[in-house]
Amino acid sequence: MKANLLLLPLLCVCAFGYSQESGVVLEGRVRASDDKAPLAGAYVCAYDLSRVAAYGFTDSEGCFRLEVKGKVSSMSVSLLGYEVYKADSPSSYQDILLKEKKLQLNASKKTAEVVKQAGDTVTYYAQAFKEETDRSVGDLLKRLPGIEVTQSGAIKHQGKPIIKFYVEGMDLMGSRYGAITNNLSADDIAKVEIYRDHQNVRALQGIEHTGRSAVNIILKEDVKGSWIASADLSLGYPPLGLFDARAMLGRFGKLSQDMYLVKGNNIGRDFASELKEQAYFGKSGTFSVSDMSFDQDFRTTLSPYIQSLSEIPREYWDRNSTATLSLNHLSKLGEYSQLVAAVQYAYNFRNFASLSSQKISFADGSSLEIIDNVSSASALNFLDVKADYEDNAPNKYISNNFELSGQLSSSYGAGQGSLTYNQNYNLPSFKIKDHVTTTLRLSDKRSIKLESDNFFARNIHSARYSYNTLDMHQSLSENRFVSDNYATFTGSLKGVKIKLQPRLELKYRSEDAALTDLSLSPSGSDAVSQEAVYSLLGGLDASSQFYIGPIQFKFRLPLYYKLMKAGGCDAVGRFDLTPYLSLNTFLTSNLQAGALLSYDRYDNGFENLLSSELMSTYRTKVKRSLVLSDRLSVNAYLDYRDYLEMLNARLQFGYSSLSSDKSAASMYDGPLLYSYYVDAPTKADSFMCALNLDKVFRARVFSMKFDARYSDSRASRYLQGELLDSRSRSSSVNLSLSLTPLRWLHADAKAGYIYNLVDAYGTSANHNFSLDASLALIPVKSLSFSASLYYSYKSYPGVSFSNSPLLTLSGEWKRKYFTVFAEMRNLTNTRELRSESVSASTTTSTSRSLRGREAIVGIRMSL
Amino acid sequence: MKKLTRSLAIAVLFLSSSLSAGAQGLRVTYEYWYKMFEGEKGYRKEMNMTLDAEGGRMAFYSEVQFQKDSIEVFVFDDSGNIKNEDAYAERLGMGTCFPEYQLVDLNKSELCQKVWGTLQFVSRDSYEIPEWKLEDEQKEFRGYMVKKASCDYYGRSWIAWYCEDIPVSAGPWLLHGLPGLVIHAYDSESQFGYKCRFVEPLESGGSRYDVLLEYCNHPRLKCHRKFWHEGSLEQMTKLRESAANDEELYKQLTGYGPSYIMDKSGKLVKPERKTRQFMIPMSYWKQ
Repeated sequence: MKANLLLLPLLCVCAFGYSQESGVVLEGRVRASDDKAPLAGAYVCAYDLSRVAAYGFTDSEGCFRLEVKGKVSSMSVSLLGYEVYKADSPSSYQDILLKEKKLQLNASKKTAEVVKQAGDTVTYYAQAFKEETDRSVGDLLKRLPGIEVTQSGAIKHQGKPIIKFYVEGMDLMGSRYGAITNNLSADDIAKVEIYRDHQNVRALQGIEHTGRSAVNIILKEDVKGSWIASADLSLGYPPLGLFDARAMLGRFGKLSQDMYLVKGNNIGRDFASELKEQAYFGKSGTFSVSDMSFDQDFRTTLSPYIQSLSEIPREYWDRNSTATLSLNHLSKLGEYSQLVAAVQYAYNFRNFASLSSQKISFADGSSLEIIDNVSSASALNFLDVKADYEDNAPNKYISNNFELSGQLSSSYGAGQGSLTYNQNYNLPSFKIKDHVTTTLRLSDKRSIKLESDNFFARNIHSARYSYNTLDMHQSLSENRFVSDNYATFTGSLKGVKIKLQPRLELKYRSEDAALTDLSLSPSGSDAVSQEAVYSLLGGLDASSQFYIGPIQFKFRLPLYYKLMKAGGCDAVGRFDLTPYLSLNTFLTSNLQAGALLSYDRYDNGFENLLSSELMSTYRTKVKRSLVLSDRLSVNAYLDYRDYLEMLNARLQFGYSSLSSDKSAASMYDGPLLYSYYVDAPTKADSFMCALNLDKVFRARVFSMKFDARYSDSRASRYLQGELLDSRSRSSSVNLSLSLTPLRWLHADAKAGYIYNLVDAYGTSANHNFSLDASLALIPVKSLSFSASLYYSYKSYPGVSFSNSPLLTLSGEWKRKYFTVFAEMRNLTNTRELRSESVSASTTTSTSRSLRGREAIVGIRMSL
Repeated sequence: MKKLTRSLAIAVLFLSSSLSAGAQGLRVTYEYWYKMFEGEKGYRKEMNMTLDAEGGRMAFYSEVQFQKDSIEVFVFDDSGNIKNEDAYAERLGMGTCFPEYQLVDLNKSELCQKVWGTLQFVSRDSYEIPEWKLEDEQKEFRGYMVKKASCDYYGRSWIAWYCEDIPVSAGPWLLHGLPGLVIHAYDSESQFGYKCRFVEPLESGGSRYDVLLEYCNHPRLKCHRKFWHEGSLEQMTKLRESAANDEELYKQLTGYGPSYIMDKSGKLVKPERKTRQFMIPMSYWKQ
């Protein structure tokens, strides 16, 4: 029956074809030989002996029809990417199958355009985006659509941290690429390439997709492979002796690369965040910078929290003396192998002062006010030495990262207010770490990856607190060992990509803690604990990816069994099942939609099985508990991205519901705080929706970033033994504009407005508005003047205030090999910045002292 | 250079905004050699004639002219006065180029041709594919194995060498319709010819066809309106040849008188007239 139906049109066609009195009708269909899909746009040509008698193209269904006057002796069908089809004496109906054939071109040519897209690579020509005032690669990258650069030099593309940062195709700095972002001159850059969905492991290319981008910096011809040197020195007043110095020597060749950097300043400039590890290939990373520890593994309960003022540049508030040294060398050992050796050292001394007033409201209507007028100083020495080997051959990938690091950190603080106290910390730490990876490509669709991540860290932390007549000493000595081992099998079966990841993780932590009341018993210990805890996790993470029509499905099902045991306690064992499902589809070539559904069952860390209570600050005692949580998350998004039009838009919604078997609790005894957990289940849920819009008009002429966000979250905790339910709603709008209407004028402005509504023992509404703007005038190419302004206005129940505008003026004169500059910071000599924060039960007013007016002159040189 | 780069960048960005999506194609760069005047010794050359072939639509144009035209709006105001000296200087620095382009839509059998210059001629007509004769001869040319084809087309006999390994039915000027890309082509009198220099893949939507078609719709500057002429291919070719070879007509159309030059004795004399020749000879229309 089916065959008859197929023959029917053929018969009709034949009848039609030969019914013409003078000529022939050729009809047919052209399809791909592999998947039988119709091919549109194929060129069909009919010949009368050696003469072209007629021609035409196939339509969207792959069909063609040629009316030929005269005879047809042969025909051909050609389409780019396929073998030419030829047939002599063709019948009137042709069902043609074209075989795929890759086009071999003998030469290629590049054209110069502002932005170019070729497959997953988007190339931006630096000169079209660079402003006269841009100094570093980071300054330039900020102007590219879809890219964000943080102060530490970390780069995000389309909201996700990049997976690799290359210069001339080589990765010298690894996850510490921020040093290049912040120090390599923008003048040396020819192009910036963004590789979307980048897979740097050759053995996994085409098999495993990362979904994250990489950045490759292409240098100008005259600096490729040659040494680049630059140095800055500036001096300032008051007080006499303010300085900021930097020297960099770099070389980015094809066979070896070097970057040597030494910096120091006491003018408040960020001290070393650019040397921190960023979220990167194989690393989770962090974008936050802790002033007291350089590594997450060096943090303990005793690590103090030092409040940072992220809303304004550090130069306005940070009173520091800092020095950093970074030595990095990359050698290419073979066609695919390389070795990187690096040493990073950072020193930072900081002092700060603030006055805060914290008002805690209780269920019975009473409240507690805690005033803290604190001055403190902290010092940090950090050293890190590492050697990374990588062999990235097409079928086999091997890498080994070995790292030794340590810190000496201490802090001294004295405060007055509700209590008069001293609070000193001593926080030395050490870590040795090794990460080894092997990946084998088994075929074009299958691979196996073996990874082992091992580290040992030792933290010998102590603190001494004294207030009133008390003199307390808290010591905490920790040994941490983690061995995380897993294998990943990746393959595909009938179009379904499958990944299986068996995993075995062993964690061990021993802890010696002692709290001594030196005022009562100078030689004895009041509370001593020696405990050890371990965790063994084993299981399988299975995931698959497949298409149903145009929709991509990703399904993940990690199933682990986790066994945790602390000394003297029964072992805690449980299954973790955290399924995850995501759907993505391209509605058009630029419009993508997706949804994500996930369920997590997790704990807050095996170390919370340790029963000892620790004094983390002079007035805070912490008791840890293992908390088991379940979280359900639903997210949906709509993305519009047009790389050539330089337009990105994203609309997203999210909902999550969290339930835990314990509730966080706080108990105040005067200003003293006891923080613990109670055995009462708790629930929290949150909803958010956000719109982001990012558009660049005509390269650097005008660009705009807009985002609006609304969130609504509910949570509960215990305060003074009473359950406290709270709800927080927040709406925010941010608009950033960058404008270069004339060659000599450039303006940037960022305005933000946040409206918060907090419901707890009542409803509290607050408004925050901030403006961060800068203006640059470039009367001639070598001369520029700029001004930057920060202003904020805040309104809370019963109080509204605005900070005095923070204003900085600067000018610079550029010559071929050097630039002279002068800067007047904080022109209005504002001495304090006031801020306010409101949470469910606590309102905190803080006045942070600022550096005053400072004048700085300096010179920058580059060779 | 920076200023130009900026202007160029902005212009190209602006232009690229109107690109449409389509099938993947090719961008081919040809070397064009030609004799502008009858009896001229030696050849003039244009090294960057570009062919964008995508989805049965061909755009054949001078890369340099495209770039120059792209930044025209930054160089001149609507009255034709120079508004950006730097951009003007750098536009001049781009040098001279071959001032015409052809757009062919094989799907619709349509042709559009524009000639730049003081006078601007836009021709719209139906496109007639050359009646190619495929010949047995083949040779290797610039790394490609090419086959010979010939045709009589618009008054000249053309010989084309096409490459079946590049299955795109396109070629320089109007020489489309062969079962492969034309790599080398010339007329039988060797007055005009093309040699392929580069071939590169063209991303979907990368063709400048639509941008160039937009250029055919109206003058870029208001002051050019009086120099703008539209008609069939025959009408415009005739008008162009007449204007090129008839001083009085040229003066009527442009408002400019014939140029004088100073001879060795210091007298101003009219320069020696040369007869301009075109790809489609006048004799073709008289037939």
